[in-house]
Amino acid sequence: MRIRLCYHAQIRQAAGVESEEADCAPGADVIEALKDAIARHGHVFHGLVLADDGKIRPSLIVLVNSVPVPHGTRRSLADGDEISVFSAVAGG
Amino acid sequence: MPRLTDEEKAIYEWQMWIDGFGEEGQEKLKGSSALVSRCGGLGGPLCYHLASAGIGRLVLAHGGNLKASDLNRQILMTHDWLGKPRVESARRRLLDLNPRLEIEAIPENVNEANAAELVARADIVFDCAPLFSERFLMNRECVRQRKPMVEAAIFGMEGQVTTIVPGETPCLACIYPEDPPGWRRRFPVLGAIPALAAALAAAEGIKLLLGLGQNLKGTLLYFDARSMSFQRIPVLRRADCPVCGGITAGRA
Repeated sequence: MRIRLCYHAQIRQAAGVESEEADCAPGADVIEALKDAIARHGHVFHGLVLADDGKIRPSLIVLVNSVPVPHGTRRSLADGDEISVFSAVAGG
Repeated sequence: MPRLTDEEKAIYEWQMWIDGFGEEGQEKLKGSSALVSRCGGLGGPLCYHLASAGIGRLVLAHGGNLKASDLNRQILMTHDWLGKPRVESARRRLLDLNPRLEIEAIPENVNEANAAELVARADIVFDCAPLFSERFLMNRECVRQRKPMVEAAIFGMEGQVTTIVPGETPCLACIYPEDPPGWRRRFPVLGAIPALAAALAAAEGIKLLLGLGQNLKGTLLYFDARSMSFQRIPVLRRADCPVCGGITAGRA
């Protein structure tokens, strides 16, 4: 199945792209889709997105089709889904 | 509530025409105080909007001396002030705009030693700090003292704004239970972007003080100026939040 990933702030900077389309195995979940993205985008992206325990970092907000995925929950994907990854920022 | 002078009625006439604002709203604003943590790219334009709108008192917390690399975005700073305390440049510029404004200029950033006292001095807090340690510290103090905090943040061409009302909305630690790995004091920034986030945050704070319209409670407003897109992201309280879990709205 085909999904879309949208990256923001530091995640976008580490990925080097604003968004991309990707193929996922049928029944894949958000973490599996992000692990596939890590294989494409390398260790900096990995460190920003997944914690050492393999879970999504709590410093992120992840949406699927504009609906937040609560921390620590598994969210299965369907063909055409869009994952958006936002990070805590500060700045000024 | 303090009454408006004839001069103030003349200055604020046009904003008092806004539905729900009026003379009563202006008097509420005159009687209000705000703590702004750092008056740089975010806090500078935010303070300017609060000052021009007629807030009564500002507490500015910002340490360090002005550097050349501040001048692309920190609009309260002036070239002739390079090497001198940033907060004093901010104070002078704000008083040029609004000499009636009462300002407490603190030449320190928010830290463990001063956070409780600084938050206690204001009705509302605006979080414009570049470091997450300061942001989480102010969040903790605002929750403890039940003070509202408007959160504004940027990265590159993107920004985020939300309004935190302890006991009623998620706090910063609910939204982001940890800071992002590798966050540094240096980040990409074009001055117009924090100025945009600051204008939104100033509007949020003024609305909250006056009870005007709807606030970004439980909503993170995200914008990307590269595509000029805005998105409202719902954010939820966490029952197990170590900062605000279990507390209710109201007085501390």
